Amino acid sequence: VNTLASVLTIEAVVFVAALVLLVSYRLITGEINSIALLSDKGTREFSPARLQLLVATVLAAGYWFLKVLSSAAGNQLPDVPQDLVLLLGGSHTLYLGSKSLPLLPRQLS
Amino acid sequence: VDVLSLVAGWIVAVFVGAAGAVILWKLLTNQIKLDKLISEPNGDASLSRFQFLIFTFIIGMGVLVVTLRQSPPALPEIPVGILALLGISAGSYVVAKGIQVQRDTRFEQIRSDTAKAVAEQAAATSVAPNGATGVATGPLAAVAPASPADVGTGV
Repeated sequence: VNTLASVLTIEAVVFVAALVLLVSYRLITGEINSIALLSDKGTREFSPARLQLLVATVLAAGYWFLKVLSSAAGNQLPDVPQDLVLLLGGSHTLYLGSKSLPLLPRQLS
Repeated sequence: VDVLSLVAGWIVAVFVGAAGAVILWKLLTNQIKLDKLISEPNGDASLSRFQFLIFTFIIGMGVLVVTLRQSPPALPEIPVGILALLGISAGSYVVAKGIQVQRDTRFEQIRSDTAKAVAEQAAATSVAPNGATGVATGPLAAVAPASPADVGTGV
């Protein structure tokens, strides 16, 4: 039984690790399309709102994963702090706001 | 029963391992294409899809780490905060799509109205100063009015 558990463990770790590495590598080398990731879809210009959402996402994800690694309670996933949820909520609100604002003047024109 | 469980366990382990290996091999050899993993149908990369990708990897690795930390391994409970995080992300994606569709529809309408107004203006100017009916030529000819009575109406 222990051998079986070890085999399944190794399989899961190898699969997830390989997938993460492969996707990360292809994102970095441009084999996965990332054109216009930070551009507004309407104006095709660089969008600071998208950048801040990306930064907030990466920071929040990284922070939570560090909490997982340093968690003392080894058998539970750490909860996401309320402040982090608020931060991401605010970031999304800003992004959605910036996405809908250019609509107004053009609609009126 | 123990032997049966063990055999079933090994069958599952072999199947999962083989499936994982095949998927990884096909990914590596580009038989499963990843180039549009975070792309929208129009070819642009999607920030929402990228965000889902990050959350999926991070939460997946987190679950894996916590599962393997226990002896024997056991799946942990998913905290409400993580579900809230994913809910915000998914909700934002849906709202963003709604805004995008609304904006595209509005742009298309403005573009269509502008083209119609330009065509009507061109048709009006194609009437000669002495009152003779001109014949619209060029790209706007297809949308020029059929008779002088149509000129100047509908703007």
